Amino acid sequence: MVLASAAVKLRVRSLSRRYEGVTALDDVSVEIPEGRTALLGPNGAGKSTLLKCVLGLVRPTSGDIEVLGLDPRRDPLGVRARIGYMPEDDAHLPDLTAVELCAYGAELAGLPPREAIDRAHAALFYVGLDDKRYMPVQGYSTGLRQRTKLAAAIVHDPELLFLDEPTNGLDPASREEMLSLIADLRDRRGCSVVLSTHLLADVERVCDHVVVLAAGRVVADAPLAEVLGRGDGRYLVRVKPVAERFAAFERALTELGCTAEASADARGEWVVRPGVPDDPAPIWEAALRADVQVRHLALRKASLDEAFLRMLA
Amino acid sequence: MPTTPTPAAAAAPKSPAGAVYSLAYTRYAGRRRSPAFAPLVIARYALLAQLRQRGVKVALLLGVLLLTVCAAGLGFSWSIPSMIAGSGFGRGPDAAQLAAMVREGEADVVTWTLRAQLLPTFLLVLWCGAGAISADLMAGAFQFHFSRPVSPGRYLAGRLLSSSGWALALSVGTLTVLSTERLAFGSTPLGAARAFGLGAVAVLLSLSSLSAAALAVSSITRRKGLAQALFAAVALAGWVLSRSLSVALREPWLKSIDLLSCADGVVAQIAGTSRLTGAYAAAPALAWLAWTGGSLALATWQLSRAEVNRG
Repeated sequence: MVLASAAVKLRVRSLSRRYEGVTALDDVSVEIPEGRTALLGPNGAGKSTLLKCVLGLVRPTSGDIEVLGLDPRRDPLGVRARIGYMPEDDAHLPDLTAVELCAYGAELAGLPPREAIDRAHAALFYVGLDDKRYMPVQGYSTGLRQRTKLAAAIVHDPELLFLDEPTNGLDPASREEMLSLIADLRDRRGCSVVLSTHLLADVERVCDHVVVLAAGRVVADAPLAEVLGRGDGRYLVRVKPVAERFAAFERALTELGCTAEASADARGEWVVRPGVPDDPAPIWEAALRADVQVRHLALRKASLDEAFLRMLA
Repeated sequence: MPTTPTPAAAAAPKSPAGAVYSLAYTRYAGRRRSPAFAPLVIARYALLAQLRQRGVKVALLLGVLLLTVCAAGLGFSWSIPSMIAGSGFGRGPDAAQLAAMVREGEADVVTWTLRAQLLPTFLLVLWCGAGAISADLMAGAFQFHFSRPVSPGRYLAGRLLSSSGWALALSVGTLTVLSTERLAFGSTPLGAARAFGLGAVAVLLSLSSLSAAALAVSSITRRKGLAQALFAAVALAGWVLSRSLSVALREPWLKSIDLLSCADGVVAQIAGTSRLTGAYAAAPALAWLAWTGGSLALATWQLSRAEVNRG
């Protein structure tokens, strides 16, 4: 599902890729809108294969891809000139400094030498590598390497940016800075981002659309708010904290076929699964029988971790 | 120069969070060059990086040293006829003898360019070419290159240029010095230019086969040291083997089919100084084609099999 108002940056239809005896992608159809999209999935789900198909590095067995209005099979170089890719693994050249590496990437993307070196300085300064950009990249720490890879991916001003595990190996402060940069790239620079990651907290922090792959198939393609809002049929119940009535309330819930899955804490909160899905009437009835005052009753929103595990199940 | 226009950059929206980031990084709306420039870009940055390696600096220094010795020796040798003529002893060389000496001197330019720089150019190709693709495989640079508008063919062309770049500069420098010196010792401008041209062909043939073989070896392993050792083994063992077989079987053409000698054989055919006749005369050219074409085919095949470039 795609936001009606958002332009589609990447459209994949019935995409399949089979290696010898292995189906990496099986009839995948997704539409990635403008904005920040997370590409989620367990190891071997097909995320990397999908990215490589989009980059034109891997030829699909069947199906169609449209990236920024271009077909990567017909014009792979044209597609790659307009997108940026930050790989998960190290991707640098020995003996080059960060400035030279970024300028090199910019020139390979078509920028003239003078503009390339100017943009390399600007991109490195943007990612916070201001004072270390004249050092060879192989001497960098993990955090500096991640920043350098991001700078090299954005130096030629891509319209669509693919980030593969950008916060891997970063300390909390660096991770926060990296996520702020990713958010800023979209908000202020107008660059759409596809974030492939295992860190669901990163997704909740910066993404507004989620695509989940499992065993080469798409199991979810929806806005993040919708994924989180779907819940799992459980209700969050908060009652007036009168401790002596809690036991009676729990007993009434059980008698009415409900399951109180979380113990009440001192504030009087339960997570209740009604006997009949999406029917909170027994909870009201139990509150009436136990003479407790219900102050909050709503379908419980799942965390992304829970939503992710539920989708995979 | 073909160029492609850049779509007009959209105005950057204002930051809702008010975070302060560098304002220098903005949208780029300037000119973009054709992907056909990629080999030159790859070669330029590789040559820059190579110049920081001690091995390359040492090989270049050795080359300059050998050039100096060679230029001094040849200068002395070329000045002998005029010294004899000016000494007053005997009649000195007549015009025909002098012309023959000049022609020999012009041939020396080609011969000594190749001979004097054989060791430094071999070392430079060994250092710059034999580990080039291995180092890229090890450092993950395939992802860097092939996620940008670079095709495998252009990548290979760039690596070929960078493998032979410093060796080419050294050889052409030597050729220029010796040709100019020969001009000062009696050659006509046409004769010196002919010697330079023939020398340039010799250098290009020699370096193209050497570089192609170095890249082919480099493409089959991720370990740079192993690739360099393999390349040295192929070149040196091939040289020893071809000479041994040539002597043992009394077949002179066998001397001109190894990696280090095939280009010399082709140049000798072009210059008309080869002793090979009949069908054997084609042996050096066929060997050069086999080494160069086969090596490039192997490197291309290896690149097409690389995981990041599959398809």
